[in-house]
Amino acid sequence: MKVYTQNDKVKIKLKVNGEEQEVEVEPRRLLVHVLRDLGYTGVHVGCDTSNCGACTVILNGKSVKSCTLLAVEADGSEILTIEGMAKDGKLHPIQEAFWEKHGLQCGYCTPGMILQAYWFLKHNQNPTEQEIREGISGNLCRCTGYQNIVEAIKLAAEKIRQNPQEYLRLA
Amino acid sequence: MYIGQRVKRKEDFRLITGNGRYIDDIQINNVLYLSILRSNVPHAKVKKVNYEDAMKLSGVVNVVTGLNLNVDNRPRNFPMGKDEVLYVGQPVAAVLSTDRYVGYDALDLITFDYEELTPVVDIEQAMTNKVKAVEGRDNLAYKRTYRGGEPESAYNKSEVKLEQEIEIGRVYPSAMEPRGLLVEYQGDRLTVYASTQSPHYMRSFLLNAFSDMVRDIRVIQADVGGAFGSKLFPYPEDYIAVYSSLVTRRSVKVVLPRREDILSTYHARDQKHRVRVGANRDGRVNAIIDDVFIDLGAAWHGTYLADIAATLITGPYDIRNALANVFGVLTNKVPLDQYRGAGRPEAAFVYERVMDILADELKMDPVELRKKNVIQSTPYVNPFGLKYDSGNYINLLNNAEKFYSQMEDRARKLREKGKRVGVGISFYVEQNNFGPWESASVRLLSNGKIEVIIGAAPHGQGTGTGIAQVVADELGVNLDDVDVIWGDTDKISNAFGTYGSRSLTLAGNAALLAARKLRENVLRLAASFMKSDVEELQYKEGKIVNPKSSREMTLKEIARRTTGDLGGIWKYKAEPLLEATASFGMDNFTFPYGSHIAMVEVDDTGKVTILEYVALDDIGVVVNPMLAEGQVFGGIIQGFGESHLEEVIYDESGNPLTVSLGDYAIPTAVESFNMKWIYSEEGKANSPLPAKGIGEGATIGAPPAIIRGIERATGKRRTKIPLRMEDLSPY
Ligand code: FES
Ligand code: FES
Repeated sequence: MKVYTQNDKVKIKLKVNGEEQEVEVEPRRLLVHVLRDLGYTGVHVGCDTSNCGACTVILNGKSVKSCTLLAVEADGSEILTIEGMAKDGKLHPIQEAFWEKHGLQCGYCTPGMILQAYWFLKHNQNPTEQEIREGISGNLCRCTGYQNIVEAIKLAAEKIRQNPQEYLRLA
Repeated sequence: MYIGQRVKRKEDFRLITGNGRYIDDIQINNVLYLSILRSNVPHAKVKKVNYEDAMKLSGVVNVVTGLNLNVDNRPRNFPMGKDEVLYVGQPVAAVLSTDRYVGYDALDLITFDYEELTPVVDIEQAMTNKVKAVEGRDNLAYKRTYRGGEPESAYNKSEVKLEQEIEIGRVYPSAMEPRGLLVEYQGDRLTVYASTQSPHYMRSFLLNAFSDMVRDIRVIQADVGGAFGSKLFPYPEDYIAVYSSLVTRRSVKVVLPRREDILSTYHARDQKHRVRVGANRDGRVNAIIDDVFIDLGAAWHGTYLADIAATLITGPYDIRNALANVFGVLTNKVPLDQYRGAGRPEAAFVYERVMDILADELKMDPVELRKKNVIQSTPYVNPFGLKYDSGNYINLLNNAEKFYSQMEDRARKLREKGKRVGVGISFYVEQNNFGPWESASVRLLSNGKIEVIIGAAPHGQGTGTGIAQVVADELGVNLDDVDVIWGDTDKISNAFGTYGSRSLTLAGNAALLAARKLRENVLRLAASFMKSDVEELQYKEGKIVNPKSSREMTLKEIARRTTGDLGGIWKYKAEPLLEATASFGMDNFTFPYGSHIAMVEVDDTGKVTILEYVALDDIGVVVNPMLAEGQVFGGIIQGFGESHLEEVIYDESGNPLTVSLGDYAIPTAVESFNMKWIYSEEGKANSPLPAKGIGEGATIGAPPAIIRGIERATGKRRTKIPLRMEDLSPY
């Protein structure tokens, strides 16, 4: 285990959406803030108690709330944020489905919701409605009442089933 | 026709790709971060703020204390507690730093000396007026009386009398984006980026406070991560941030951490009603008399919450005699303000509880009782003089009854299997389209596309798409060729914003009228280009046609002809005006109405599950059913939260206990449920685009239906929200 003092600056490497990033950070800095400072402002902050999921990203293949990690803990990791979902201007099927099904209103929860859906669908491409609801229960949305988000994830599952290799290779 | 279609939103592409620009996403060079030291005591005299140590911290640029401004309807100690703090969470000092982590380090180095005062923690204590919530001020902030008919004598003469206390808990609106502001310093001018529902209103309240320090303030609405009424009125942080920018001559950003947002964003509801109802034995209600107590917290904005809740207390029923006495009292809590529905959910909860309880007392079917009392025809003037504009209430109630009976059948079967299941129905009327008016401009751009600028300031409702549908229809152009923009005081001179379910109706009609004016302008121009008389020309699907010569010009050609050539001289016979502005307002509010039906199961732990849910609404013409339905779905789940999960709780010494989204539980996808929305279009608004609003309806209809369902499932009279699990477990 490495011990840092507050005034240390630590150099860390992250691979975000396929791009190598090297930054010097204070050891106490949260991953979510470092990602945002790097310009990935689609990673949102909605709380300070890890309740809301607005900060959800995929880190080394796992869905994490990036407000619960120090950036130094993420050193060397590969991260997928909402900015990396569309490829060459083409939306990911989950993004399309959120649009199609009116799965967002203010859009603040949306990046976290989409990434959580991505991780969830990676593990379950034939989900029941209840499984979907439980799968996103760590992500809060105040606008939609969730119904259209659930519908969007159902639709996304359908689309993804047609070509899982293509659609689930992002992270 | 785009009106009436489930058109996908124009707003979404940016938001689903992470390109939204909420306050904290906007970067400005050399910005200072504002962090705020808040009172940790509910009520105290402030003696001295000690911040010298904080100033020594590297990265700290300034500390602001004791800022007091004279702002309408706000306490003397506003925006900061200078000699008195009135609630936990009230700002006492503010740190400006170059890094937000350092800012919070600095807060640890600031203390303030105080002398504790006894806090006023509830309505009963406030009403005794022994201890004052605000030094030197009566606890009764206001008392208002609203009267229609002969309520006392009608009540006294009634065969059946009912008295009931009804409580509506305190809630926190919980927009997923906490509040924030970014002030860009530009010398004699500021540009303020705000998470707000009304950039124009914000501009005027900031200019009122700072006009001697700055020449002008432009306010730009950033993407707003939800508001629900909570981002309309001014907040201490807005003033502190602008003041800090002006004194440091630097740009300043403030974004609240969630904990602070809960401790400072205006709370809502928090009313107690003592209601008396007089009826005939056949169920006909003669009189309603309601004493209403509102726990305003430490400040209030006018009396509109009282006005709305009181003047709608007879609901969609023909009750001729009514009296409401409203007592607004001060306590040492976060100030109270509006939240989605603002007074209408409170009124509906009371009149719908009354209907159900009266039905039980008279052993009548609750729908029968409602039918007995429902307003028979519109327009209808209620006892307080509100004129319900249009609609067929009986029809909607009959439709609702069908769903109610079907659910009742299924519930009976589940009850026979031993489940605690019940069905609740609510029926409500809403007053909306709070004006006074709204503005819009429509422009034909040089590339032939249409730009609409609206004074409303939507933030998730999808109004931009709805208004694009309206304008595209009016001009006969493709929806893709219409863009709607808003939220910038430099782009539109006077406007109001988005609140009170007004945007589609008021801004939509303004846009419609502006589009018509634009068409006139374009016709005149085309006449000069086509060498015809204006009277000969017709406007058809984005083209100007001369039926005689069958010559025609597209909007694009007209735009080109008008703007395409650089240089030369003025050779237009008509003014080359490719834009038009209109304002629209109405001489009455609009009154949509609807009904919600919920089938509810309560398990032995007290957990509530909604098994089926249907909402019916009549909001006049529905421009985009998908968007309207989205508003209803979101509102129902908020109403469910308010009924079962959410409550801001203070302990007996005035300390807030719900300070995170862990303690203050808004519904997750798991507690939420599937809903069905059915709309009719009988009750049209009296406007060119005859749409009413649907932003708030569902938060009005949901709680009474859900609570009735719980009441039926548990077999026990229920008179307050929220009903928490511990209230509902039989053990
Ligand atoms: S910001 Fe709320 S869970 Fe991370
Ligand atoms: S869309 Fe606003 S919080 Fe989910």
